[in-house]
Amino acid sequence: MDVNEFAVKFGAIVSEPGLSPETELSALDGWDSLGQVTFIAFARRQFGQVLNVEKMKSAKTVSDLYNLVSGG
Amino acid sequence: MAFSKIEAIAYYLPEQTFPDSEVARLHPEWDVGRISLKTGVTDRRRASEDETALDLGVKAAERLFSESGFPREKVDAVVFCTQNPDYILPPNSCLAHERLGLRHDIPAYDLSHGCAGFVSALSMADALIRAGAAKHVLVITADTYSKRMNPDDRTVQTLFGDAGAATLVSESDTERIGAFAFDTDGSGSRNLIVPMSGARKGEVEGTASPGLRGPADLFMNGREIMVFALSKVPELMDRSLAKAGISVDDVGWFVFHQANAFMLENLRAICGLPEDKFIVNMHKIGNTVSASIPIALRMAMDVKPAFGGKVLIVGFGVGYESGSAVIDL
Repeated sequence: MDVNEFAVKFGAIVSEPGLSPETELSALDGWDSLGQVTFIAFARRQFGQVLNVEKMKSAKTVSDLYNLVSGG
Repeated sequence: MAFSKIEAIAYYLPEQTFPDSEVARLHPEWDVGRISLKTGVTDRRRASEDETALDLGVKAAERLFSESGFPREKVDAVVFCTQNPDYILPPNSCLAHERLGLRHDIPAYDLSHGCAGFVSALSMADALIRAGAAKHVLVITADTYSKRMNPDDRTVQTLFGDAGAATLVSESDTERIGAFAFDTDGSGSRNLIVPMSGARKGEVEGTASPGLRGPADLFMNGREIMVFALSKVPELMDRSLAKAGISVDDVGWFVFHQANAFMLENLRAICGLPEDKFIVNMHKIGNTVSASIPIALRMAMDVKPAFGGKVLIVGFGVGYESGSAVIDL
């Protein structure tokens, strides 16, 4: 899964279509505690990654999250 | 050994509707547009004052007999799944049995389950048939959560709808219902509960909300239910697929309990399932609890010519109880 495909799938999690890798997470209403819980489940399932919650919370953009789950 | 299959499905929706426009009229302080966007529900059905889950279930069963032409005297067992029976005793299954005029030499079982109820009831029907105890089992799943809701509780009022479904499970030469997987975890029982609804007296800690909910009103901790579903459903899906010896690509359709559109979309993303094989059709009827999976199956049969083949079903909810299976329609 490349970063652009990731952005589309992440958009489904936060209920926001049309996200790009550069989208700022702070601008997304759906990136709340529930969105984060959902993302943790998504990362575990799709990438086999058990996320570090602090690192996830410090991510600024969609691309940061992608790097976190893909190990990039 | 005999196997089982789904022979026919029918459902019945009460006539009374509770659309967003009516919700907004009664509760001008609620942001109905935003709620609908999250839940994906814009209308719901409501049983009338003198209409119960028993009535809805019996009407669905009558519809099943008239549509399919299946003779009711061939039914060898009846299962009635609801959490709103007419009485604590006698059982709803006996009342439905009488109304439907079924044979007397058959067993009638009540099952008190919610959103996983269809999978549980289906597994009972399948087990009866595999054991040689029945050739045709009538499974009724019907509920009326509206009877338990406080009118001012936004989270449940906008989400749940009343409905009844009837499913005829029959003997089959090949395995067309199977690969059941279950998960039971009573530690989550307080997150979806009607306190003071049975023999246990006293309030349940953490569920009261003065002015919003009384001690006998339905309480739902939506956030906790969401966390539960997101962690359990993918695991159950894997277990059923492994039991069936197939992969996601071998499944024609995915029909999950129609909890709410937001949760379904998240589950689909987590499980990595294709949108065109994933059924979401609760926009006009809401979350219909144990009736939701058979209604979703039947609606898909009616509107999608390609619908059929291997279908993975997953139910999850109150208890916590969750279950999945692979059916071949």
